[in-house]
Amino acid sequence: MRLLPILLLCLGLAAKADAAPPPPAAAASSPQAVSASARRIYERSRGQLLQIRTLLKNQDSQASVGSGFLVGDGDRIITNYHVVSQFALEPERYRLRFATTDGQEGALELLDIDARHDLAILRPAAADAKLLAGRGALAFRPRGEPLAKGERIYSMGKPLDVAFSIVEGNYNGLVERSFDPLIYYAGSINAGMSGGPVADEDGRVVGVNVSAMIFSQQMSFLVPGPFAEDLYRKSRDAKPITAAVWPRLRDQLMAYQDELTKAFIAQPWRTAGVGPYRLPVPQEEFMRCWGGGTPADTKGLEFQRSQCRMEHALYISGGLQTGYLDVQHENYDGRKLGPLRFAKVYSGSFRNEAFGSSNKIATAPFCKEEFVGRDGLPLRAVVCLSAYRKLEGLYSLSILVAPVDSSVEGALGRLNAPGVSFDNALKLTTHYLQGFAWADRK
Amino acid sequence: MGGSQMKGVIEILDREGQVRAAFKLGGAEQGRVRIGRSPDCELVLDDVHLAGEHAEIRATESSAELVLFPSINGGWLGEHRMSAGESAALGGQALFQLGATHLRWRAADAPLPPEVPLADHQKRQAHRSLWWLPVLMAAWACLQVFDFWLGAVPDTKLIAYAWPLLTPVIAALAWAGVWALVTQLFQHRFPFAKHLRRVLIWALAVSSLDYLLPGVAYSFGWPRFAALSDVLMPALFAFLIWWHASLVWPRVRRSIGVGLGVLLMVALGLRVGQRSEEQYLFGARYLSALPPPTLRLVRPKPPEVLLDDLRELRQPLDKMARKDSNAPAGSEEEE
Repeated sequence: MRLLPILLLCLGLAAKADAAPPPPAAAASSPQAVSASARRIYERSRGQLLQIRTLLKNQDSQASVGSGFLVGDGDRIITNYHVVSQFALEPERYRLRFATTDGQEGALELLDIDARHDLAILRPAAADAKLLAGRGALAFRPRGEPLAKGERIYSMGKPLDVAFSIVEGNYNGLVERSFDPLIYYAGSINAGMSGGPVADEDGRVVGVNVSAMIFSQQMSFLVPGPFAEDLYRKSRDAKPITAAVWPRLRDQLMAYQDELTKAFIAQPWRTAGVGPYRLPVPQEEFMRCWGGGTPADTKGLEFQRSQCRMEHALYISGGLQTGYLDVQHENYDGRKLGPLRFAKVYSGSFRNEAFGSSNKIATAPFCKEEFVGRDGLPLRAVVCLSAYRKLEGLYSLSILVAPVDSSVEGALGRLNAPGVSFDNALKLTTHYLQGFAWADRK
Repeated sequence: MGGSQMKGVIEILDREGQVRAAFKLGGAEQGRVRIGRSPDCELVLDDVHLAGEHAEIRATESSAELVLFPSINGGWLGEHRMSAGESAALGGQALFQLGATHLRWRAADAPLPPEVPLADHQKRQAHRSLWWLPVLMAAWACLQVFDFWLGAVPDTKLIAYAWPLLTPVIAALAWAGVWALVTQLFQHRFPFAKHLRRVLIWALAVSSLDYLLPGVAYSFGWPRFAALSDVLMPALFAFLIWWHASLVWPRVRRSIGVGLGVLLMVALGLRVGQRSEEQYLFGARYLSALPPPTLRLVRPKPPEVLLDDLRELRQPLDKMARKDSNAPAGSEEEE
């Protein structure tokens, strides 16, 4: 019975590998690629390496699996928040257990979470503490010794609940244009390795496996070790969590969105110099922009598109990723269409925008709309907000703006900011509207 | 005795209750009218379910009675079953059935029901001119062409207009045809042109409203005005059905109107019920029409006005967020 899902998983993986060109890191699984140092590091760390399992409260079936490692005096465990999020959000339905590389198993208690960096700290339940006693702990690499690009680092964990593994890869520096530092790791990290340690040649922790880079596929990213060390220092003696962590998540998100909004609003808009309008395009400091357009010989509407967004969102639950910014626009040139046809296409684009709907996580969007003047440029602006049900005071903001001065030219701007406070939603609205103006009245 | 017995009329009714023939009583038959298939009867009916001499109506000076002779099928007086040998008084007016034939007895001294005015379609009228038919058809076709032209890129080939033009025209003809057939079923006439006129007028009105409502909403800056269409369109559809139905069943058009009205209310009520968690009970979240700028009749406002509007959302949003947060949590997806 147990074998079947694993077999299916393997088949699924094989199918994936067939479909996509084989990633270079696939070599890590072949025997000759596992170097002597990987063997050495695994031998040294295996005692501190754990599997973290989330089980249903009253059954032995596992809801999810991840990895973790012992830190400090060997009695605290670091993993990803998303590995323990089911327990953290519904402690009455789930429980956490650890499994060691030598087959010992015991109960775990959750001490604290850091949703912003996707981290959690745990400890063994008092009755099972002796199972982990004397195993020692992994040390963090000192902050004063930064890694150099290309250095070998080793990611450990228990991928897909198959077997404890070590994957060899390279440190490739921090991800550019990320609001919070993330390590770009060239190596393959599979589901289930989340929460496991990434060690340098000396077996010291430089990062924690994480794959919660929401908008990029087939890339592996690591949480830098110092954030895990900070969480350990802050919460090693915290009281175990027994109630759902929504209030804690809310506080952490509240602080995060404040910082993010401040940093975002402090940046001036770049100018997109296409057509008669100046449209708000964000700086690429922590966002990444992509663009596109119609071919030059198009007979109908000509448009250009730009989308800038943060690629890293905060994982809250299986149904909720939030805390990022997304700014996009399209410019339309309808001179070949004439005013009536342009009006139809323009209205169609303006209508073809989704704002979500009422669900367990958030309310239906509530909107306000108005003709707004910006330096003499008339705009049609729609602002929609929905409130998160369990994160009181946090909202998902969407702004839709279209200039309405021309009968054959137009643009459609949209800003999405899920997970902001009401005040910051208003500030972002003001800031966004300020990004619209005539192109030649700078 | 002759000439002093009660006078009256026996009416032979068709399946729809209309009088097909009437037999006057009070002449040479001396107060006895035998009814049946036999040539000896005074009232001969060609109903195979009757005996040769099936029944008799006997009229005296002051009353009339129905007497049944031996037969297989007998008869009914009103809802009362009568068999051979039975007799029953007929009174001033009575409906009865012999074999499969419906009859009505009407005594001469019974009060006459008032004259029923003719329904419109029953009046003789000069042949109506059909000049409006090509005009309405042309208008409907033009609207389709315009609609398609609006959505097409320049230099679209003329042949591409064929289906967008033909499909709605065929749909209107088919719709009118179906209603004419229904009318044929109930009234034995086929008023195709009348049904076609109604559906074309309706379709033109609805299509114009489609442009008009968002246009007005945009021009005057009343976004919620466009939401009217969510109520208007179902109401107009109910009206169309009523309009056709009143041609088919003119005498009960009021009841049909009430019935359709109730259905409409139920439909709108269901819609409101489904949208209890939305900001608005009707209409889209926002006005998406962006017609040419000359149609905008209001001045743009400073951004602060929009921000002030937004502040009003906080309370209802928070209230809505609290309302459903106690809903039982479903199972999380397993990873």
